[in-house]
Amino acid sequence: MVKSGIRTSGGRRKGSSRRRLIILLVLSALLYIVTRNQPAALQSIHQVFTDVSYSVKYLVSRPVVFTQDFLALAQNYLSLRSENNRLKKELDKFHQIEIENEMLRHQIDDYRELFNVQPEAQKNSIVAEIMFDPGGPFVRTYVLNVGYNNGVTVGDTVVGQFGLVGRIVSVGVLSSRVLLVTDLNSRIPVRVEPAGVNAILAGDNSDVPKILFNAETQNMSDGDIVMASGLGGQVQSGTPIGKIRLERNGSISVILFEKLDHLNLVRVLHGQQNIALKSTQDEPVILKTAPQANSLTDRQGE
Amino acid sequence: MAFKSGTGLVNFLQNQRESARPGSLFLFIIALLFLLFQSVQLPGLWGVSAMPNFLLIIIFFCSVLGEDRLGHVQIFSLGLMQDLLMATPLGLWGGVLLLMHLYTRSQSTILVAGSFMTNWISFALVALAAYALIYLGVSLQHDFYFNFSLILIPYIATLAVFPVMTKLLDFLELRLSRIGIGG
Repeated sequence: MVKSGIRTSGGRRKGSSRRRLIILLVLSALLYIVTRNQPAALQSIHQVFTDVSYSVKYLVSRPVVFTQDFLALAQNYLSLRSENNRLKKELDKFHQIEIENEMLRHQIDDYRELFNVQPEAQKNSIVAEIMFDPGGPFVRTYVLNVGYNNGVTVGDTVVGQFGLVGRIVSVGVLSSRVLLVTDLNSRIPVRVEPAGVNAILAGDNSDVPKILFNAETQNMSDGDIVMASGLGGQVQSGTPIGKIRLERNGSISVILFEKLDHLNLVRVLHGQQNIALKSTQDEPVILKTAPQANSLTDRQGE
Repeated sequence: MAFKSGTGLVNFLQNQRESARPGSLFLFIIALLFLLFQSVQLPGLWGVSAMPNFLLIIIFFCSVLGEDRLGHVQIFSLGLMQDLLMATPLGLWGGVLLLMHLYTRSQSTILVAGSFMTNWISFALVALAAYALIYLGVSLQHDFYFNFSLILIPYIATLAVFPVMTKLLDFLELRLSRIGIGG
């Protein structure tokens, strides 16, 4: 009697558990079908979730960040002498380049004045820290520690020390998400120099994005420079991106100037004039980019 | 009355509450922390993230030990969070984790009695199937078949950390049972 009672209650529990499992599996399938095409509402949910988990993730990531910093420090210390010699040589080289750049800048300014070229709208920038890589293996994105509060907007360009990193695709209150140039969904209009060919740079989730929609491949060669063309207004014209590498199978890859795996800090560029950032004393700090070299308007003012 | 008659959502949630053990909340929090830890940016191998998937190990471990270690709703919630973090379509990870749990439960008699090596090999097969389903789901979403190394490297990393992770979970399970909320 007792046994059959236990069996009946156990069976009922098993039955309800199985029913629950089936409901959840059906719910999973429905959710998958509905959200497969990444509707806009889902993007907002993603961003809200990212914002909420931001603080917890920050704490969770601290030991890893500390270990990474410590290892980098140890590595730097070990290679201090050779690094110093290398840097001295590089410094000499860059002094030379700086002089050449200065000459070229004056030349460009003279040409601008000659042709009455209006200077591009000045872009402001915010320095942001990469908090984590939430994308996993299928999506190439980073989450930055700046958001709506710092003036970041969807579509802003993100650059590193050497070149383009990606574009902001969603903004939360505390954080924002950058779609990297290597992501499958990234498409950026570019110009290849010195050939002067316009093309599209398309990510494919590998480290080297590809050049698409270009009929003039014969004009390109290894080492040609790829920069943003500015067409479509997505990315500021002239933003450096990488170098051409011609593949054996006929495709054209781009070796990025910016090593995306080793990034910690980036700059978010946007067109607004002033950006209020909260300092540690909770006082708003106005960040401005360095003034452009004697633009036409400045000169006219003088 | 409707509450007692046990129909609908109320009954569903009540059953969930009844079947959940005090230790399951603790395991859920542990799983949640590891899930967040998975999102930490680590240097990749050949440009591919080499972060192991701790969630798969935790779900496998709990499924082998018993139905009530982690409830179905908890597993589904963890899957949803994983979807939100990895920007995969909602329901994909939830469904895959539930299927993995279902299959592991069906083999639990063999797995509980089996050696560590048996468990490791079984996990390798189950995790491979789970990764393959995720790969398929994401590829269908993008209409593009990704490079297989994208899942191969994290898969190998997950297998590599399996022994350490199960030791840690064993230790936690033992501690929980000692203080009377687990085992």
